[in-house]
Parts: sequence; structure tokens; C-alpha cells
Amino acid sequence: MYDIVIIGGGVIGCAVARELKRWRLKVVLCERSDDVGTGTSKANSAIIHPGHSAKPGTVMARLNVLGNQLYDQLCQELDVPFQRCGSLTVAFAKDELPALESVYQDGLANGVPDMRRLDRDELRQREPNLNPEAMAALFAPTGAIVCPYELTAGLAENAAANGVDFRLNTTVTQVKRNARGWTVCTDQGNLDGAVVVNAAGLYADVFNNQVSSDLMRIIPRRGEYWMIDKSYAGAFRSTVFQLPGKMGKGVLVSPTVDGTIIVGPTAEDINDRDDRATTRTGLEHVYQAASRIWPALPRKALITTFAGNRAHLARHDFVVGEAPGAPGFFNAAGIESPGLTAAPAIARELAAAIASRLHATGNAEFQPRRQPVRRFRTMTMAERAAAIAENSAFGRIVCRCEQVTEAEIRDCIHRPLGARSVDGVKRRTRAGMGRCQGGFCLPRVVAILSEELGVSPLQITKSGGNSTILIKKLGELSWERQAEA
Amino acid sequence: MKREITCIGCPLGCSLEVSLADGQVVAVAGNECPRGASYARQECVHPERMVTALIPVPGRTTPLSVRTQRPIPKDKITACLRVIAAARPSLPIRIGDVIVPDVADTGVAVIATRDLA
Amino acid sequence: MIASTPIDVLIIGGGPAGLAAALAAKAAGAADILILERERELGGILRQCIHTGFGLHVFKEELTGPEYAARYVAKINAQGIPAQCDTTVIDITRDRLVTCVSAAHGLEQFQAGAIVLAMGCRERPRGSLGIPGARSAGIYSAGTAQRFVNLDGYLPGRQFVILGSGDIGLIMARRLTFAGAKVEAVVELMPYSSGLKRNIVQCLDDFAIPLLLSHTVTAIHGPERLTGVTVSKVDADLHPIPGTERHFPCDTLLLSVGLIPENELSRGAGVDLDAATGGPVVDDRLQTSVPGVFACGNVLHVHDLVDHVSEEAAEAGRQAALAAASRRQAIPLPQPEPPKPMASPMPAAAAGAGAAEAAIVVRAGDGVRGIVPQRISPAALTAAPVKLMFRPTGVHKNAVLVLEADGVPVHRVKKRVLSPGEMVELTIKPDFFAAVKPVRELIVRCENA
Repeated sequence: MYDIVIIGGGVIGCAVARELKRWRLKVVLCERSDDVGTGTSKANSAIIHPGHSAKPGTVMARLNVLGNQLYDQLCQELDVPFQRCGSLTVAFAKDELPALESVYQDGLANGVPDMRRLDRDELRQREPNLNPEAMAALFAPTGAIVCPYELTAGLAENAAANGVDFRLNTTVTQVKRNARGWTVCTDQGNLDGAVVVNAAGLYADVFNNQVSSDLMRIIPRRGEYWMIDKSYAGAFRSTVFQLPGKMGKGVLVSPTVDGTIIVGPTAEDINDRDDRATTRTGLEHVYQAASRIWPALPRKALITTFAGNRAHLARHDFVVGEAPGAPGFFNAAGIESPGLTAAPAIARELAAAIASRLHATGNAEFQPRRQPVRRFRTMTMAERAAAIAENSAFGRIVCRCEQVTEAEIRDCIHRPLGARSVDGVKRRTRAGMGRCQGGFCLPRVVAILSEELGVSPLQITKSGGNSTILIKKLGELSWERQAEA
Repeated sequence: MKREITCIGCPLGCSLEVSLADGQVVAVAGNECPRGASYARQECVHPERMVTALIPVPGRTTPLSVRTQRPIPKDKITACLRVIAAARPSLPIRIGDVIVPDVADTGVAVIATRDLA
Repeated sequence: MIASTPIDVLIIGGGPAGLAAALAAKAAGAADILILERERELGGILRQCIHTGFGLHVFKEELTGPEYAARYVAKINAQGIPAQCDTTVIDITRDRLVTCVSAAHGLEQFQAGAIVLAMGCRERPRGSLGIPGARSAGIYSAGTAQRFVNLDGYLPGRQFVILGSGDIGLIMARRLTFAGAKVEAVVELMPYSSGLKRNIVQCLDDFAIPLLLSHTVTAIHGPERLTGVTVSKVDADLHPIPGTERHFPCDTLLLSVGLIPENELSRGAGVDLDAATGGPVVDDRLQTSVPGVFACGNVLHVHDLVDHVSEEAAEAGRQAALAAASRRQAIPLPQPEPPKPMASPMPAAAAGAGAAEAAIVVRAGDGVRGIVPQRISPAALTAAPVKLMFRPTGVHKNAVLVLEADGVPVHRVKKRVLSPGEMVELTIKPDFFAAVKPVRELIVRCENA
């Protein structure tokens, strides 16, 4: 019997799990895939929004602004890359000026601090690569960027270190009332809890509708992105938004904490929640729309494309709190953009409500700091020399594009809730995320995973399940089979 | 009998139409230079290929790479690969060591193309 | 602060280019040479190229990649040239201070008299093509698959489709067939293959593997491991034609869609790069825009044959040794100077080419791309023949290459066929310029292109 069963190991589920450990509570988290942060949390704009684009008075607006404020401390505690690069919302034509002004007014209403209007000259000076037609902008210095993979992995790792029980490869099928609370049925057996947290992202409606009278329908809204090589690092100082349309905030151009530039997303409502395939038309739309911000967008410097699905609700607001008619069943549903920004605030609010409901006592042993991650690429030369002297594996660079060493890869496998797949290593260390996209380091990463996990390379997967990398040892398929065919 | 083959003599890659009678080339058309005709005579009557292959060695990650010392008749490739697959060379192996002295009755040896200790 | 070790000629990369450069630098009298190699053994990509076709020019026999490399490594050992493997260079400065790391020696810095860039190239990944579809497991570049099979002893799949008809892809089609896998098709966007004819015949035709020209992969299927790809025909503008989709079941997609010179370190050193080749802009001595830094092999421009890499690298190694020697004479390093075996044939100023006389710019005209070298000193042009290397933009039959000096044609040469898969060499001789002596630029173009 647990105090709380959390459904979903995305950024929300992991943040809630960690936050709940500030009290003496027994927490279990179920995640259907082989790792945390493999859904919406891994495929988004990686932006911490200032909060001027949410409608005043909504839950979204309140949690956006609050979440934004919590980020500095959170990323410091978890040693996650984070930068307050500021954001610009740009008007490219005179007829866009009223819309820009209304974003500013919404920002004021939502309590976004320190916003400033920039004129054409200030804009040009700040962002020389911006389309010269840009005539005015709203600058929000609290706009920021974060590494979403490391954030989710960091939250989960810290939650696990504080005693949260993580059940990976565990798919929840049904949530049922029982005499003392709830039974959460999974493909790996049942879990009982006094409280359930529904952080199931694209599937949040499924579990909500099993228990609550307030029915909801999640619409998967696909967003496609381009990633531009870090040889263009510095092309933009701040995140650049266009003025929002009815399908969301539109295509943006933003630096990332890793020095690449992200461009996207599209917004397309689809049927299949798990369909994260990119499309020819979507990718072309991203290019065209982003060219409005960055006319010299270098097609040749494209290193990868990807798509993510947001959990959109028709009411376009976050549903955070106890579900009507289901005491002890707490939702964090409809968490689309700015969900990453709001995650720490959602976690704080839900954890406080749950703790109060369960009359929990404070946990003096809670340790908010994650063991720092030693990243070769951000060390000074002297730090590198010292690191190699201490552990020679820091002297073996496995991923040449991102300068990731063998020491970092072994470390990310050994940490609490460590990497179990090639993508798990990639999200935690960036090995394979650079311009060659794993062409050189993949065989090395497979070999290291196989050594550290004590399994054959044939069992190593890209991302769990049947996503194996290798099929057979050489010599086990016969030439004869071919010859006779 | 007629056969269509592609000349490999140069990047032009002429499409050759080769007329054969009793297993002999009687005419070559489509070639833009004399090399095409001589390639057709070789390729249609007595085609040869170099064969390279890998032999997994127990206890070693890297397989042993080998090749035929000279080109062998094309129709012997399958037999050659079968013989190589059955070879169980003992370590250490030096580059150039003979792994199979006469592969598939071709009179051609298979040799190691790397050291394996 | 880390103490730096002075070194005469430092060679970044121990593949075919680095090995040939080191030997030539030694022969040209370099006092001390060091090769830095990131893999555990010397030989570079040749180690995994177990097929034949190497060495016909250099050794007059047909060798496999490992054999070709072994011959050079034997010479390196015989000459006593030191090489440090398992060592990755992480930074090069304009002043030729090179920082590298290794498990064995930690972080080290070398102050080089001259540097030879020989880092090779990498393969274009799926992402850079923007092929839409799922992000399934089972999509690899051909070279990655080659490494899995030939060096690690694993097959990455049973049933393959190969996108791109570059030579690595063709070679892998045969290797995988030999290993018992099925190759369903090789799909090529262009109406011609960029691979060698010989490889198309001996790697595809011999095994009845279809080559689909003017086709491309338009969708990728499979939520976990790849289950298949959609292939479509493309029109003259290379756009997929709706209605021509065909489904190929496969568990693996290999990409052989191009190679990119790996110049991140060069960029860090401030070396100017050429957008057409992806490699450094070099002069007739293979010196980059940074004095004392030379480039050769696939880091300079992607070659067709390793034999050509070795020849080019030997020149870069020789020039680096000469530059290092003249630098040593000009600015004595704080160490006892070894005896000078030979004098530099060029003035000291040229060795530090920053201040060199205004160079003639070499440009690609119609039908031609990626000329190397991009700069020639007027003195070099009239002193001895200079070899230009480039590629045609497409398949050109019965073409004429025209060399123009400041807009005036000075030389014409007929070519029966030019194909992008094969590098073109054009040797320009001093007597071409008897009438017109260029001062600004040379242009090579292809008529009837």
C-alpha cells in the first residue's frame, strides 16, 4: 500500500514525485516506457516561457509565471543546464502591432516582470540575424531555456535518491476505487494507493474518465522541429516568438542550452497519440515559417528533425487538482505548452494539496540536491586535466561532436534510475546528439552499455522494447540461405 | 544468344550487347572504345572476382578479414565463401598468412588481411 | 597552467592521410614528428574497409584497406615516427597550440612548428536529409554498419534497403549479402549513381540487387525497430511524385548519402573553409589560411581513391616540414636546434604565408565544383606544374574542360566522360601562360555541361 501512485514519468510526474518527498510519504511512479521523459517531455521547444502568452485569469497563466520563477533554484539543485536568455515577441508588420500590445497587456495582467518594448533599432542591435522587416518587439528578460531531458532525468534521479519507487516498463490499464483509496491496475500487477496522481500526458483523459464525472478529451497536437548545428551558436541571443495564432504560439527560433538552434514547432491535431513521425509538409512549413524570423536559415546546417505531441484540451487550460467526484484522484491534465515552464509550480501545488489531504508530516531527510554531473565539454582545461588524473575514462572521448567522455557515459548508467538504452545515454549525456548523430559513437555506446549492464550487445536497444540495435552475431546467418534463394 | 552487361572500364559505363555462340563472344555492340570489347570477352566467357570475407574467431571481438590472393571464377564465389566459413584458423595470425591453401579447387589461396593475436 | 611540448610537425589523424604526411615530413627532414590518433590503432577508416580496390596506383597491386594501412604503418614504425593512439585533439589555436586528451597521458598541449590536418570526414546522417517518418531503431549510416560488421562482428539487420548509391553503400550491399542478409534495393535520388561502375556491377548486379535511380525514401515505418520504408520516384526537380509510392519491408535502412569533411577543429583554429568542398581553403602548397597549418585527405575534400589521398598527403607533409624548418630558423625555439638536413626552397616570408604576395584565386565555373587548391601564388604558377582537383556537377559526356586566365581561355582538354563519382585532375603547366599571365583568377569550366 502506497500513499501515492503517480501515473506517468514525464516532467510533471517526476516533478510531483520529487516534491512529494518533502513529506514523509510513500510514493510509487509507473512509467510505460523504459525510461523517464520519453513522451512530450523530450520533444518540445525546451523553453521556459515568461508568461505573457497565456490568457489572464487562467490556471495556465498563474502556474506559468510561478513556474518560471522557480527554475533558477530548481536547476541549480539538480545541476541542469539553464539560461535566462530572454525572449522576444516580434511584430513584422504594422497590422501586428495591436496584437503585440495585447501580449504586453496580458503579460502585465499575469504579473510577468521587467518586460520592455523594443523599437526597430534596438531589435536590430540585439538580434542582427533577425529579419530586418521586424519593426517592434516585446522583450521579456525572464524568458529562459533549459535542457528538458536532463531536467526530467534529474528530477527522477533526485526523486529516486529520496526514496520514490519507480516502476519502468509498467503500463497502467485501469484506475479503480477501493475501500481505502485507489487500485491502479498495470500490466505488471496492481498497486494500491490512498491518492493517485494522473500525470499521464497524452493519456490523461483515459484515466480521468475512468473515475471522474468531469469528462475530458485530449487531442494530440503534433509539433515538428528542426535542429540547427551548433556552428551557428550565437546566431540568436534570445528566443524569438512570432505573434500567436489560434493553433498556439507559432513557429519560433531559439538558442538551446547546448549551443544548437531549435526551430519549430508546427501545430497539427492528429488521431494517434503515439504517432511522432515527422512529415514532409510539416518540416517544410517549419522552414518557411521560421524563415520569416531568420531569412538566412541555413538548410545545410540541419542536423536532425523530430516531432512531439502536446496533450491539448479543448478548454485550453491546465487541469490541476482533485477531479470532481473522485476524492484522492489528482489530475495534472492538458499540460501542453507552457507545461515545461509550469512543471515546478504544478508539482508544488499538487504536492501541497496531497500532503494536506493525507495529513503528512515534513520529511527532514529530503535532499533537494542531485549529485552534480561532471560534463567534460563545460570544464576548463585545468578541470579537464584534474578530472582525467582522477579518472582516466575522462580522457577517452566517445562522442566527438559533443565531446562526451567514457566517464560520463558510465556515470549516467550507474546513477539512480540510470540510462538503460542508447537514447537514455543520449538524453543524459548528449552522446549521439551532435552533427554526426551517432555515426561514430553508436558502436562505442552499445559496447559500454553492454559492459555496464552485463548483457550481450544484442540485447541493447535504442529506446527499450523491440528497438534493438543489432540482430545477430556474425556467422550465425548462413551464406547458403542466400545462395539457394 | 545475347547478353546485356555494363562495362566497368571507365565512368562512361557503356551498355554492352554481347552476342554469344557456343560460349564464345562473336560480337560486341554498344562499346565506345576497345576496352569494352575486351571486358565483354572476359566477363562473358570467364568472369572473375576477388572475394573478401570475415571469419568470426571465438574469444575475439574483431573477426578475421581474409581475401583470395587473386581473382577467382565468379561461379566459385559461393563455394569459396562456404569453404571460408568452415575455416577455423588458430591464433596468432599475421597479415598475409595462408588461411586456405586452395579454395574450392581454384588453385587460389585465401590469405589473412590483418593481424589477429 | 599546462606546460606545452614543442614539436616540429604535428599530424592530427593517423589514417591514410596522416600516415603519408608523416612519412613525407620525415623524408623532408622534419626534426620531430608526432601523429595523434583518436582510435586505438593507426589506419583510420581503412581498418574497416576489408574489400579490395586499394593501392593500384601507389603499390601497383590490389589490396584491401587493412593491408594498405598496414604497409604505411610498417613504414612509420621503420622510420621510428612516434604515434599516440587513443588520443583526441580537442583544440587547435591560430598559434598552433594543440590540446589533446587521452586516458594514458591526460591533458597535453603541443606547440607545433607546423600542423597537418588529416582528420578525415564523417557521413551525412538521416537528420540532415530531413527524411520524414518515425524515428525507428535500425537506421544507420553505411559506415556505421560497416564498423558493426567488419570490426565488431555483428550484423545490424536481416533485411536491408540502402538509400544512396555511394561506394560505401554499394560495398555494404555485397558484404551484407555475403553475411547472409537480404538487400532489397539500393535507392538513389539522382538519375545516376555516385558510386564507381565497377562497384555497381560487382556489388549489385552480381547479386541481382536492384538499383532504383531517381527514387528516394519518402517515409519510414516502425514504432520501435524499423518495419519498412516507402520509396517514391522523383521528378526532374527531385521532388517525390505522388502515386509512385512502393513499400519495401525491411528491418534496416542504411544511408550512403554523402561525406562531410570533419573541420570542427579547423574552424576553431580560424581556418577559412570552402562551402563547395566543406574543407579548408588551401594554396598550392596545401597550406590553409592559417600560416603553418596544412590540410590533406578527406578533411580537405572528399576523395574517390585512397591512393590519391596518400599522394596529396605526402605533399602536405613535405610542405609542413619545410614550413616548420623555416620557422625554426626564423624564430629559434628555446631548445637545442637539431642539424638542418635541408634548406627551405622558399623565402621565410612565404612560409608564414599571411604576408605572401597576392594569390591568384582559382574558381569553379559551369559544370565544375569544389576545386582544390583554391589559391595559387603567381610564382608557383610559372615555376612548375600545379595539379587542380575537382568534381563535375553531373555526368557530362564528350565534355571540354576550359581553363581561363583572367577571362581568357588558355587551355582546353577533351574528356570523354566526367562523373561526380570520380575526381577530375587537371595539371596546369607554366607554358599555358606564355601569352596571358593571370593576376587575379583562374577559372575551370566544363563546356557542353
